[in-house]
Amino acid sequence: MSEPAFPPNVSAALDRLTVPPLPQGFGDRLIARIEAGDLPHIATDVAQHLPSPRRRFGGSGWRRSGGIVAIAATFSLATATAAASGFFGEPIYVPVVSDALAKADLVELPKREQIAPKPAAQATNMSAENGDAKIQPTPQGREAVRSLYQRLRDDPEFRTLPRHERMAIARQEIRTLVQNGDVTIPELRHAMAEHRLRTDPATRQAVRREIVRRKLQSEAAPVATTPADVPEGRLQPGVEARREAFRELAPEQQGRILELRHQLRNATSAERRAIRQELRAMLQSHTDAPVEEKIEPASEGNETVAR
Amino acid sequence: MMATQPQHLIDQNDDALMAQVAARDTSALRLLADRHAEIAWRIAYRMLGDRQEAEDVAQEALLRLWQHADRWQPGGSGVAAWLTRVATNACLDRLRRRRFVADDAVPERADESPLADETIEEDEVRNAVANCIEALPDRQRAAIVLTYYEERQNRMAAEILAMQVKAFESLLFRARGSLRDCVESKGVVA
Repeated sequence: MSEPAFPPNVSAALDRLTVPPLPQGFGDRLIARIEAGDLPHIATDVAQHLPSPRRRFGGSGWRRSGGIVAIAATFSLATATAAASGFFGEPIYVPVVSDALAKADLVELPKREQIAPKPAAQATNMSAENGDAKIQPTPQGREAVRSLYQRLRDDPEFRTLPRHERMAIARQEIRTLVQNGDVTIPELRHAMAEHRLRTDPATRQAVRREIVRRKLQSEAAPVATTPADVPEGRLQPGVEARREAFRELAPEQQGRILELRHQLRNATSAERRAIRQELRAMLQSHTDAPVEEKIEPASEGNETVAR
Repeated sequence: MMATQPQHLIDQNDDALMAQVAARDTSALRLLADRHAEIAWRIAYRMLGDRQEAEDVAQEALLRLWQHADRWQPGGSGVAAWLTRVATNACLDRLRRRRFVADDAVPERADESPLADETIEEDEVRNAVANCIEALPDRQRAAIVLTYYEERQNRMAAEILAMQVKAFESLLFRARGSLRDCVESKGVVA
């Protein structure tokens, strides 16, 4: 013993367990058994009928657990291989296993199911449930926007949603179309203008009222004279209306306005105020007529009203 | 033991005697039994706690030596180590077998102490220790017997029990703790 395993008092007690000497006649009985052919079997009679866990599975629980895990892993691998090789019928694609079998030319790779493109939003899911999910060429450009509006309009569930939710879904769908490259911004504008034309009369009337309201506001407000005042790619409704009014003026009036605008560039602030009043008076006298008839229904800048 | 031994065998080492055993010389086996049977007997007696079973185990170990003598390789770990391994495993087999037989068939630990020569107190201590060893799990019992009583090194004891040394040391640690607690709880330590 290399180290004191027990306290001295415990060791003293353990040492009391003495062993008597070997029994008398041990050697004689040993030789007698040999001469009588009474030899032990390699495995004793009882042990033949008993499980032998210590030697079969190793001595420790860790080794036993390892054995169980190894058996389970082997069984899983065998099952996966059988499934991939078509043992249970049609070959099933099992990652790694099927690839390995195919590489070894033991089995052909089963065709994977066509994975449908992930729906971009809720409205797409709803339309797919209505049977519109047949594989068709994806519409492009304005047609994509028209198709989107049509799908949303035809969806009864969509129609029951509150307005702000419908708008949110429509915005999301349009954003997805733009992000996917199915439609460009100009195409989107045109498509939306077309859509506005097809809307019901009440909506169109509301749009016109809004246009008129903005126009009147712009008449009262200072004229946007610098490009920074106008958003890129679009004109303010008042500007468009004034241009329209300008085109309808008599040539001598147009000449006068151009002359006044030219003077405006070099005028003092007092002179500029007077020139603006004269310009406003000329245009005002011309826009007293009903404006609805003068505004093109497809004019730009009404997206927010349509929405 | 037989007192008469063939003179030509007495001076031979264990390997030479094993060669004689392989030639079916019972005198050589008897001489080996005189030299080493005590080891198997001690191990079996402490592990099994039964005189008759301990003698059976010791005889079984030597009979196996007789049977496997033709495969003996000289220069190995020796007859004593071989008998230690065989006796220990024979004891573990018997202990395992005991669990599958009825309790009334399990022999009681024989009280071999000559009461006339021992005091009552010494007898109590001895029985308490024997009971504590008997209460240990089989392999812990073997670990205590091999390392404490037979003074085998951990590496050798682990090899006998077919264990990794670390695992054996863990087993021995638990065995020592259990035995110490048991003996102390019996109130037989000073």
